[in-house]
Amino acid sequence: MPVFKAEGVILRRQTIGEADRVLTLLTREHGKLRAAARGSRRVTSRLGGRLEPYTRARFLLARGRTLDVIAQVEVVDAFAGIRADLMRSAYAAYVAELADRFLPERDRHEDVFALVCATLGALDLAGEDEAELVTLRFALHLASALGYRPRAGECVGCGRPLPRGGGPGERWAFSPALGGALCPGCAGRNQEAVRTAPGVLAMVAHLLRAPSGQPIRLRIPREQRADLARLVQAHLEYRLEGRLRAPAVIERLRALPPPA
Amino acid sequence: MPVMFSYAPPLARLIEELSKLPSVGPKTAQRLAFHMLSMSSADAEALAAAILEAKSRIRNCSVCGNITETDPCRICTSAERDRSVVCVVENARDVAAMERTREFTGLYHVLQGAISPLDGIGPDDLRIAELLRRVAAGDVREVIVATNPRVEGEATALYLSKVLKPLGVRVTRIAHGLPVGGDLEYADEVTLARALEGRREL
Ligand SMILES: [Zn+2]
Ligand SMILES: [Zn+2]
Repeated sequence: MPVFKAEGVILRRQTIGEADRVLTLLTREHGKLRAAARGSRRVTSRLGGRLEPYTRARFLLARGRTLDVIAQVEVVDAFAGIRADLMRSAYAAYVAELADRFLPERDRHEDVFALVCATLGALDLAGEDEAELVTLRFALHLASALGYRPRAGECVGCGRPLPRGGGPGERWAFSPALGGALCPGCAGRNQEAVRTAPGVLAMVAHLLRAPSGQPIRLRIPREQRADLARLVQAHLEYRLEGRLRAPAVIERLRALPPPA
Repeated sequence: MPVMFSYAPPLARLIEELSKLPSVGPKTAQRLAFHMLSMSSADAEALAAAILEAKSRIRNCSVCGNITETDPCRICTSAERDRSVVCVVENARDVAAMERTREFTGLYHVLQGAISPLDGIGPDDLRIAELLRRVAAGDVREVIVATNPRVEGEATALYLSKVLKPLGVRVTRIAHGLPVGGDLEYADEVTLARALEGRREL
């Protein structure tokens, strides 16, 4: 069987049969691809702990008839800090879901691979609030890389720039369909746009400019942070034409504990 | 699967039903179906009856969630079990595995899954509220979290420790390390790091 090498991040692991697993990898060289790991569910398997989601590794793969098969794995970064924290782990799942659902198989996207690695690296050390911002920044940069960069700095209807200092009292909006901000005048005629404070749109603009892999220093009031998360999610879900699963679970994890 | 349509409808239906089983693809389903056709009528009836009987008589224990014929289950009602310790596992197969060790004498709590944001599975999809009720009711002093050492099981363990600790109960996690009979040089670095973390005094 011909073999090939790839460096990648494990986005997802699914179990098939008694002991086989199918991994979804985002590789630098071949984009997203699915590969089987034979026997890795048995605890004695040599691949064992190297195949956990969010692990960055160098893979040796054998071309298979239907699926490629993982022959060897050399861990580059296990991102142990992500797995040791509930919310980091949940936000990493959000990152993985976005990358998995937005990228087609075998379509090389080296920029997105670098973005995912930088984001996991930032998540590995992040506190809960920063983990959320790092994830939202990733979502916005991913959208940009795929040609869906939202326009947040000015009204997409008339070009009016966001008011300085947050424009207290002004009701702006964000339109997922138009992919950008709407001033109070232009938002009035738009049914699908989500109303939001100009300050939240300014945060979107800020995150779009913020280089990935660097810490985010941004203090955000609680309700604005929730608005920001909803807005980014709406922008991506509109492009995906479907609902994202991870953000809904994250919301439930943040609202601990469940009623006994 | 165009191959199905060439079979007589009763056989095609059997193949279709079998291929709904986990890890059974169309080819395996065909093989199983032909095997079933070659069975004696008595054997075929025994198989069908066993499926129906198991389905109608096995249910989940209303206390621990394990599969059982009586409710509450034999473990939950046993006078020999230590009622102050509850071992939390992901599924009923894990209870069977723990029981085979004959080491554990406490009670169980089966979550029926693990937290997995990627699959949209959150804490309220698991039997966590039931666990909190059991602990709040009193007798439990220690909860041993024995979810799988994977991302989903770890997230579930972290969540459980967050919601259980305020109830004043001791929360412990089973150790992860090298498999007995395994080889240090072949161990992956993640498992090895965990084994080092969980070392103990000799
Ligand atoms: Zn406008
Ligand atoms: Zn029971």
